[in-house]
Amino acid sequence: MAKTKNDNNGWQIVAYVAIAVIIVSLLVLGMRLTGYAIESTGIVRVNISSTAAINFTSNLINFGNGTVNPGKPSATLESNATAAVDGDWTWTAQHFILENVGNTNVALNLKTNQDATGFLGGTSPAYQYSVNDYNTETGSCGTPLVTLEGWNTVSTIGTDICTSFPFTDANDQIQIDVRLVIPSDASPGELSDTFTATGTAI
Amino acid sequence: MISKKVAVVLVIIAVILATISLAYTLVNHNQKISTEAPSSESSSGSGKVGVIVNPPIVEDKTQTP
Repeated sequence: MAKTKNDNNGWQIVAYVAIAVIIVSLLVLGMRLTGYAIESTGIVRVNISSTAAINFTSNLINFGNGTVNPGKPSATLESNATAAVDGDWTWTAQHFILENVGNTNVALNLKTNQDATGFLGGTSPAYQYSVNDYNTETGSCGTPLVTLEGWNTVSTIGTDICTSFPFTDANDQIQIDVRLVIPSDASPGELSDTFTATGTAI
Repeated sequence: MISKKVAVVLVIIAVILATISLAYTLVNHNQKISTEAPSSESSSGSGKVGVIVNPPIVEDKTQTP
């Protein structure tokens, strides 16, 4: 008789526990299904992709046509000037303008398709470039690896010129000028070459 | 007093509801929105330099008598 009473008590406890579990489960499911909750949080997530992008906003330097003055060994043309020294070329001052149009800082490398001899020919030609902060955008070429505002010889294999070329609008543009020393015995004709800048995200 | 049969039915219902509730909670908790997008690591651009070199002017050094 005592055993039967204990069995009954056991089943009573199991039944009450089951009822409690049912109530909790229904509450959880009810809140999930109806959206009702005492406290609720929402999370907004957005991921902005990092994009390295550079662009020559001014991509042509054209010195026009001219001749080395008679009796001179060479003529010197600098794109930020307007006339040749010891030659009769004239042009409007012009530069390459390179802008970081992406949303990440990049390391900048510059190369040309040809060196001075390949481009101009003749005896002792020179083919150089100068990197400057464009306009008032100081610091555009962060930690420069070439002489800023000085003439550097071009490279066909590429030269790292800026450790960091920022994307922030206040300093995301650099100016590149070109200097040619055309010997009197340079190859006559229409000569051209291509500068290629590569920005790699840092 | 709850009978043994009723208690068994209650236990079965409790197990089923608890399982559904737990599964629903876990599924919602593990939901993730994929926001990854490919990043561009490098970019390049080019500019052109042009010049026309005319043949040198030959000085006439002959003198007329």
